[in-house]
Amino acid sequence: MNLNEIIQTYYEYFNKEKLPYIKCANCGYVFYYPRGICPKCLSKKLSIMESKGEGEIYSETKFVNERGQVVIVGLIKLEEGFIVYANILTDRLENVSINRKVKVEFKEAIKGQKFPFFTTIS
Amino acid sequence: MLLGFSSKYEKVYQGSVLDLIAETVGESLDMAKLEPKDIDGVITTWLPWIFDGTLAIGFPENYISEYLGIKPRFTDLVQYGGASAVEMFYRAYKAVKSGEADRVLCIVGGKGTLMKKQLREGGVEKLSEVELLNILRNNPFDEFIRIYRDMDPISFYAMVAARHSKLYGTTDEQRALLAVQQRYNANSNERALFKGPLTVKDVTNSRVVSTPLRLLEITYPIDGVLAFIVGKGTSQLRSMDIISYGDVVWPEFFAERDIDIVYTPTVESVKKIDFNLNKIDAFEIYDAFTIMVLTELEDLGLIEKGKIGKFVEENDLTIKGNIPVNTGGGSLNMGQPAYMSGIIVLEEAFLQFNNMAKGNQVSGADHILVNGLGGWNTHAITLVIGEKK
Ligand SMILES: [Zn+2]
Repeated sequence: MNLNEIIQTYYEYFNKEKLPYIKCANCGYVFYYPRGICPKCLSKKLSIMESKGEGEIYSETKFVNERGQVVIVGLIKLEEGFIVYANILTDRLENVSINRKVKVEFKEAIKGQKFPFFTTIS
Repeated sequence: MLLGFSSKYEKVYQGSVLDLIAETVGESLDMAKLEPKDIDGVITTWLPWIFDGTLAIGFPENYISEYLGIKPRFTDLVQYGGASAVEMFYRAYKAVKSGEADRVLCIVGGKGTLMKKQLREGGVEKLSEVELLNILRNNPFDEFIRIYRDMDPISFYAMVAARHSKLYGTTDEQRALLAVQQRYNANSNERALFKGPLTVKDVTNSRVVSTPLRLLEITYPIDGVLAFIVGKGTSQLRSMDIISYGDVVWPEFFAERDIDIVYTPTVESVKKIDFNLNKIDAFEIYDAFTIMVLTELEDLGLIEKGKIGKFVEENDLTIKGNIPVNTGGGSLNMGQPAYMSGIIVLEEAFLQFNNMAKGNQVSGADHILVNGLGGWNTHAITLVIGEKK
C-alpha cells in the first residue's frame, strides 16, 4: 500500500471506531503514525493491525481554552507498545494522571470524519 | 572571530521587521567598522509569522540580502527552531575557518507577536480546520496530530514537567526556585524587560497555563532581532573562539521517541564537548520554560537525571552563586523574540565574554557554555566559548 492508501484505511478504521496501528513483518516494529515504509528497516512489508484500544497515560497536561473549558492533551501508551498523542476526555479531572488506565473512544472531529480520543477506565 | 553584534527587543514593535533588521544590522556593522559590501556570507532562519506576519516567504536569506544591499557568496538557512541562533553562530564560524566566507552576517528574530494577533483577529481563524491542515504542515503526520487541541509547544513541555515530577518527585516549588534565581539576575540587568521582586510563592500562585506549568515559568512573546557578524580580522571585541561544540537532531515526533520525554537532545550534544564543565564560568541555557533549563542542566551532566530539583535547592545559580545560570535573567525575563530564545542566551554569552554585561557581569567570564534547544526537544546545540590561547 502506498501512503495515501494507508491514510485512507486509517480514516475508514476510525469511522468504524477501530484503532489501527502498523506492524512491520520484517523487523517486528510496531508504530502508529502512518507510513508506507517501516522507519526502523525501510521494509514495505507492513500490516495494518487493530489495537485493543487500551493503554495507560504516559504523560498529560490540562489547560483552559478560550471558551473556559478544560482541555486535556496526553500521550497514551497502548498495550501493543505504540504511543498516540491525543486529547483525553473525562467528566472527572482527578482521574486523569500519569499511569492511569485509559481506552479509546471515537468522536467526529471534522465533518464526516471520526478520530480517536481517550477516556479513563474507572 | 566575533566582529560586531546588536539587538533590539520590545514588547510590541510597531514598524516592519525589515526596519528592525536594518537597525540591528546597521549597529553591528558600525561596531565591526564594516559596510554592507564587506559582508560575503548571510545566515538566517525562518518560522511562520516572524516576518511581519507572513505565513511563508521563499528564500529569506535572499530577501534580507536584497533589502540590505548585500551580495553574499555564501548563504545558509538554519532551521533549528529555538536553537537556530546558536547553530548559526557555529556555522558562520566554520564557514570563516574553511574560507567559504570572510565575514558572515547572522540575523535571527522577528515579530512573533503578530502570530497571536493574526490567529485571533486575522483571516487564519476563518479557514476551516481541513483547509488549515492543508496549508500548514510541519510534520508528515500533521492530520493525525493537529486535529487535537493543544497549546503547542507549551503542552509538550508541560507534559515533560508532569512526567519529570511523576518519575522523580520534582516539585512545583523547585521549578519556581529556578525562575526566582533567574529573576535575581534580571534585576541587576539594565536590559531586562521583566523585573521586580519575585518569590517562589509568587510563581506557584501565578495562573496555571498548562498543568503543571504556570505563567511565571513561561516566556512572554516579544518582538526582537539579534544581528551579529563573524569573520576574520580584528575588532574592538575580545578575541573569541569556539573551544568545543556539539549538536544533534532528534527528528522523530515525540510520541515515537525511543528515549523518555524527560530527556533533551542535549544528552547527546554534550557527548561531543571536550571541555571540563567545572571550568565553565557561566551557563547560558535555553529557557522558554523552567522545565527546559532543569532538564538541560541534567542532560549536560551537572547532576544525574531526576536530581535537579534538589540541585537547584542546594546550589546558588545566580550571578553571585557557585554556578551562574542565565546571567541576564534569560528569556524568562528578557522575553522570547519571535518565539526563539536562542538569541537571548547567545547574546548574553557575547556580553559576558566581553565584559559588557552592565550590572550583571560575572567577573572572569572566560569560558561560557551556551546551550540551545529547538522544537519539541528536537534540536540541541552546545557550545563552549572562550579565548584560544
Ligand atoms: Zn521494520
